[in-house]
Amino acid sequence: MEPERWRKVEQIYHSVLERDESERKRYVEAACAGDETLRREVESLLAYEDKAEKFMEAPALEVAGEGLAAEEARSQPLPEAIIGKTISHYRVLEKLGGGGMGVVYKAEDTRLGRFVALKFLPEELAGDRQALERFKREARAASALNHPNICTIYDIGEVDGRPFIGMESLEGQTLKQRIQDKPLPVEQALELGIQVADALEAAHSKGIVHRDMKPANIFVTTRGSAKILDFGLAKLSGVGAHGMRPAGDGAGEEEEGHPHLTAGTAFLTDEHLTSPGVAMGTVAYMSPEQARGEELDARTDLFSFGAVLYEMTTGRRAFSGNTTALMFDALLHHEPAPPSELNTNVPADLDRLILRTLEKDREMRYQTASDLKADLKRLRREHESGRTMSRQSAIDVKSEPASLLESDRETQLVDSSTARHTRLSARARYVALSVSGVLLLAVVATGLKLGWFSPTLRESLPEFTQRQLTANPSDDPVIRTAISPDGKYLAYTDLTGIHLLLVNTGENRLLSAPEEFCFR
Amino acid sequence: MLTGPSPHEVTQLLQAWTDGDQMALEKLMPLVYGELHRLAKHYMARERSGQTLQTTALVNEAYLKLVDTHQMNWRSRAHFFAVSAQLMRRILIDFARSRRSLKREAGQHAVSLDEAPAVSLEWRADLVALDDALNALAAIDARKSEVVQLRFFGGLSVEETAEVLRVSAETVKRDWKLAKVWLLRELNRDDKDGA
Repeated sequence: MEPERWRKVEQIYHSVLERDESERKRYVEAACAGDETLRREVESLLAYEDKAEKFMEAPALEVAGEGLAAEEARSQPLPEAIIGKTISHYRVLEKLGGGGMGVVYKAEDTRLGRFVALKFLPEELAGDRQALERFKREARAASALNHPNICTIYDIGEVDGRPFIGMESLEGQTLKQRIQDKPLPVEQALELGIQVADALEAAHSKGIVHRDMKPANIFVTTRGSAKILDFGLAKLSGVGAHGMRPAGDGAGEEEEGHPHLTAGTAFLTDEHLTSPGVAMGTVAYMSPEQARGEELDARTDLFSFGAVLYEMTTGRRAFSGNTTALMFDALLHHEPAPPSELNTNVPADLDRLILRTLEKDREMRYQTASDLKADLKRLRREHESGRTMSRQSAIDVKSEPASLLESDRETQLVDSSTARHTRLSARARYVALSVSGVLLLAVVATGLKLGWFSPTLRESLPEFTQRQLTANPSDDPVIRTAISPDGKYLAYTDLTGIHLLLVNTGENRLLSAPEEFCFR
Repeated sequence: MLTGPSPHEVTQLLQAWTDGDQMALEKLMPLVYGELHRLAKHYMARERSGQTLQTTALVNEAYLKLVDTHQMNWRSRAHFFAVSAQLMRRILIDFARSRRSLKREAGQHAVSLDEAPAVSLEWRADLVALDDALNALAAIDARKSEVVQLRFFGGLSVEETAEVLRVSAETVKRDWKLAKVWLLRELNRDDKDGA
């Protein structure tokens, strides 16, 4: 810039600052007298006036000294010696555990006299300023979620340059520990599922998506209520610590102008597709859109929650594989076996519900947590009344309830198929239960005498379900198929070779065809 | 505690450096680093104990240790301030560059010298970017760039800066004000171009 012109800019700039806010714009226009470049120059400088106030206020030596202090603090692992110390107003009592999302300590809030859990962010995330900013923003958002089934966030703070979150201290175990490869009783799975769906509904209504729903993030308290953990932190963790980028939310981050950090969600590197054991825990519950790195919305939580429901009811993961690549393949291309095939106690309606949450195409899924919750509630009711009614219907058909009062009989002994859709009043249900108790004895007696009562009564009418076992794309069609006599395996050939598919788990083994060989 | 050369020797080293002796700089660098680490330790201790230390006093003390102003007469004092600010800039920028995170080389960032330094791990890149912007400012207005060097890198007050530059305190204030907005705009412009 010409020195003369610069002097002009300078002169106008300082004169403007002497004027009232309201007059400034007009003054600049007048002073620049139609010189647009000059006006733009002055205005672009004025735009930084507010920010400039605190800029460079601390001398460089202080900036470097504090920066160095923060670096050194972060390069040191959190000392175990923290136990017994008082951080801010928390007295640290014991270490509760550590994981991908950091180390958790139990502490006492000395001001309020209650127990809290302090979770320290893992080092690799603490060092990333953007991750930190996002973490704080999200913690703030999550702290606004006041819901009995979401672990409450009380506080965020920092000690020795290590950020931590203070949150509700919980007693119990995570769903992951609870499941341990064994299915939960259906009624319990439904109960927990309803609570989780209710929590998701509340969070989604505030525009907060969890993004990392998995059994390890759902806590079951000793009193039996579900608490979703790490709300909002998923974006940070993703599998970020292992090189996958944390997921981002569309809106808020675009303005930051870091496209490489904010592209929809996680993206994959070759490393992840080939290395075994990398962040498998999280990958197994990813939605297909998440795995593909697309923009995410609330429906991603519904898919992941579906995978959790699957695991609750079957004790098995909906999608599995020995490497991340296989896992991705499973969740992108394969339908899991219906839960009832793994656990005969799972009713057909619950089968359908779970498979609907696991639809690859999010348009085909449950669209909202509240719809899902409503269906879960309906199922729970059916399950409850179903148990009552299945006994009653047996009575209805098979025996004559002679001892029943006529009036009660009118109201209570409804046909089981309509009972499924009729909400019984509390009194009615109570009567039905006690009546059926009496009747059950009669039925058992008669049944045993007549010999038609068998424990397999419930399973005597199997549900027919249709399942597609192969993808059968037009460019690589299935050529031949065979099902093993016990129904456990499906063998089929396509252009790549011979596949052996475990029908129950969807696990698929390929015997590659030699290159010169053609199956046609 | 400052070990190594005494303040008197520092003065001589500084003089030698301005006379073109590069060896002098190498002897001076560890002194600044030493002070820097000492400062850092104080900050960490402060964080841990939760007490508020007067950081201004601490930094001033560090400057005083590095630059002993008492044994100079007025003329050389001004000169000395100017030289030490230049030295501080050079050493701090070298230091910031020395372990500049690779991650940052790849992407751009928003400047945050105005943010709480305790959370900023981008201070190295921030300082380096500021140094570049300051060079650009010097091409347009050398005095404003001097003002920034003296105040921000040299840690001088408005009055001391005025003394060195032999202008009024009012002029220093105005220069400082305009230099700040100009630099901020420059830093943010880089940001957009790079993203």
